[in-house]
Amino acid sequence: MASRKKILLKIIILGDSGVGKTSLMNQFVNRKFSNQYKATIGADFLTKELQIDDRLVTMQIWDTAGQERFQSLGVAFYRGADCCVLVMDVTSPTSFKSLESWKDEFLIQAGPRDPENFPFVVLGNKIDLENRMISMRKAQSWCQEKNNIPYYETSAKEGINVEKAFETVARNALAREKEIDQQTDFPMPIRIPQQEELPKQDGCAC
Amino acid sequence: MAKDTVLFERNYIIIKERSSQNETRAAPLDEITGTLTISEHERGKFFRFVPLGLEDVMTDDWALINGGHSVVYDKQDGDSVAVPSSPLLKYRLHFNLNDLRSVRRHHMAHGIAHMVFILKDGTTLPAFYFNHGGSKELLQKLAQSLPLEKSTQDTRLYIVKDDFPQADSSQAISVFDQLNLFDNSNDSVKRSQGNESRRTAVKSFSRVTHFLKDTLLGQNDMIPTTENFDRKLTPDISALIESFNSDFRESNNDGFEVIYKVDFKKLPDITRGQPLTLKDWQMSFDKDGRINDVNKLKERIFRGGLESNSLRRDVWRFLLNYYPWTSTYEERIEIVKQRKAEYLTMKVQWKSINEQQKQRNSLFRDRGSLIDKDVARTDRTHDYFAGENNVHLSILHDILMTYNMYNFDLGYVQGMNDLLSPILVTMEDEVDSFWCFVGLMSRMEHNFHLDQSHIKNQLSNLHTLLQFIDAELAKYLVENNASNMYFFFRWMLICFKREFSFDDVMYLWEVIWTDHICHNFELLICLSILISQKTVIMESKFGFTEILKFFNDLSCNLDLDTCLLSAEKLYIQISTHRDIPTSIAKILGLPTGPNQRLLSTIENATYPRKIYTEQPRGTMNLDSSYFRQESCPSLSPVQHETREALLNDIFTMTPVTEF
Repeated sequence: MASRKKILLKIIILGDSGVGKTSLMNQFVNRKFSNQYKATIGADFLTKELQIDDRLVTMQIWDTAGQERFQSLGVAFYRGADCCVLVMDVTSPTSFKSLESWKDEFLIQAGPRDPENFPFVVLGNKIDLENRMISMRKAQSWCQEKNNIPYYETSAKEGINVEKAFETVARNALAREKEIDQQTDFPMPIRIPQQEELPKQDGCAC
Repeated sequence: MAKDTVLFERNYIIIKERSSQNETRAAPLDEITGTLTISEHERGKFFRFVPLGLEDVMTDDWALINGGHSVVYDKQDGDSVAVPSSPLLKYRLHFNLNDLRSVRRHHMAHGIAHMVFILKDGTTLPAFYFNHGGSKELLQKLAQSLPLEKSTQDTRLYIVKDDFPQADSSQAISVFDQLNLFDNSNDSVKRSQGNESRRTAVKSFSRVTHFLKDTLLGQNDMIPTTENFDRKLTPDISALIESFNSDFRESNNDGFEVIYKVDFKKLPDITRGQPLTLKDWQMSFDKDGRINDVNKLKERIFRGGLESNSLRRDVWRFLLNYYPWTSTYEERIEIVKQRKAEYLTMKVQWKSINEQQKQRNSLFRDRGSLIDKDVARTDRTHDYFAGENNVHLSILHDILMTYNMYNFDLGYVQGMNDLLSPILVTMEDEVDSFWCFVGLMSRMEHNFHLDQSHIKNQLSNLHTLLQFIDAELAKYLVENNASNMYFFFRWMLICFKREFSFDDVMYLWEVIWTDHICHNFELLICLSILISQKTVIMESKFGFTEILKFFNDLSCNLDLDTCLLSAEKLYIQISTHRDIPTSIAKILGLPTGPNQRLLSTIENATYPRKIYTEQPRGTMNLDSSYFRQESCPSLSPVQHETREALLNDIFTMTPVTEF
């Protein structure tokens, strides 16, 4: 393993305040859920290594503040991202409406190459709650319109679909493979041109 | 697990935990005992710490996680697995040795050592205490597996040297091209050797006509060892030197002298003072209730804070401008009466907005819902806000909603809840808390404006100050795309609210609110912490990402009094400088021009001790008064020892609690 090049995937989680971005990250990386997270201020990240087929990848997952006015700092954090996870709360129509602007804002600030094909994954979180306002069909149809973005319904609290969703994130990010030395301090990708993997029609497993 | 070869194993290794941010500093630290192993596995060599009692939870397959905390990974099930819940789980730590960037080994009182591991992404593990020895053996084992090199700047720090990115010229570098001082063609040169750039920097800095004696670095420290220095200089080096020169001129366009490097150990010896007591406070008033000597009082608070929360309840009203400093008893009674009526009027305004109105007012609705969300996650681990249906949460909510009516242009912005919470805990009264919060917001509201220009400006001020007081570090940050200082965003936005224990935050805030020695003292606090971590940052070759992680992980591991002392030392160093640049003076609110006035101000200031001691330079006075032990009578002898043992460090190595 030491001789093999390690792949670092930079993942950005975006979405309205309170949709569960921090919870999803912690559920995926640490497999725990807490009711006592604080609103994220600034940005932080956690890393997790996982094996995708025969490749060992390191996911560096960035959690950011959800309030709109803090997005002007995004430029410092979004650069070099390999995949962007857009999160909404299925009990909050506003958070669903915001997905579009989060997506646009991300593309403006991150300035990725080939923005048309930049991999996004949409998560409808909090499906453990009873007062759902956004149906799966509605969310899926939005995602289909946007160049077939994969959609997952998750519960960070119950740990539903989280692992699966992030695996898709990793796979789609891998498609824009970023090969860097395992020693790098500067996560700037050397991009290997590759055919974008067609997003799968992912539904909810539950 | 059976396939593992154990290279090192030691039981009874201890992590000391400050169990939550809300514990007072006097609270005893929890100790988590466990086993530390280094083992070789088919996938590499791994570091593991398993708390006592969790051995059974371990499965054959650990997730390869270095998020600071590790979990069990079960291959059979792709989705999240409910792991038997134990509060100790988060102390199961695990990383691949290839991810290690540095280790610091501290010698403590009675021969007990502790070690701090920092990973390549900046993640910092809690300190491991070796009460029964073994730290040296561990270091030896690590040295057998990794190219560990002792830092020349800090003899306790060992850096993994094998794989710095500059060794690989194909490595892409810049995240922020616009900040890059160099053409890409120079990248390989720029990154070729840290020591070389340091040497080059010295050359270009020969233009500096005057170094502060106390900070002048011995020439020997600057010359790299031949072992590190035998790399070939490319012809581009002249262009490189030119770049440094132009860079230097840029930071020096006022023609001022910069301080190349700060060494806290060589700065004047100062101490913190005792907290202001209730008795002191009561004696500060004349017969009408006016405060006799406001400046003296502020200085006292600046030096030692306030003794208790009940005293805070009175003093904060003055510090936060709810009561004017010149007011009398009678005037204050009148103020309270008026403010109460005003508050109730505003509260009624939003309370009387009905559902139909809300339907047509999305701005009001959205703010309300944001406040709801944030109130529910404000300091819930603090006793005052814990539990379901906590009445204090609804008071928090009402104050924030009323502030929205008071300052509708600004409204509610995330972080305001953090600023309000200590005020409410102190005041324990809705109306008083509101008006104190208004006072605090008038200091802080610029941070929350829509365009974020103020906070960006403050971050840029940080770099300007750093260019003056530690040009070497400032240049390093520029070269490593970290000069935007965004890693201090949270510190600045909510004034260190998340970086210290709840008690410490209250103490820190009252110190800052006095505005006693200068404006923007909080910037000096940031810088003192940054500079204290300079060796780790520079020798680990941390870039923006790693520095951000590293400082996020420092949260609640910092010793506040040490930070305050260092910040004040920086202030003394700047303010006594012969020729303070206008830009610097402006940031700190210092007079410009020849520095006569300032020097005399400082000489006349009632510091508890002489600023300049007779002590030989280079020995830091490790006086126990650096810590407020007197205010922590509940410390057991063992804890005293621990505290003293930690005197060598700016931050105490207690682990961070996750919320």
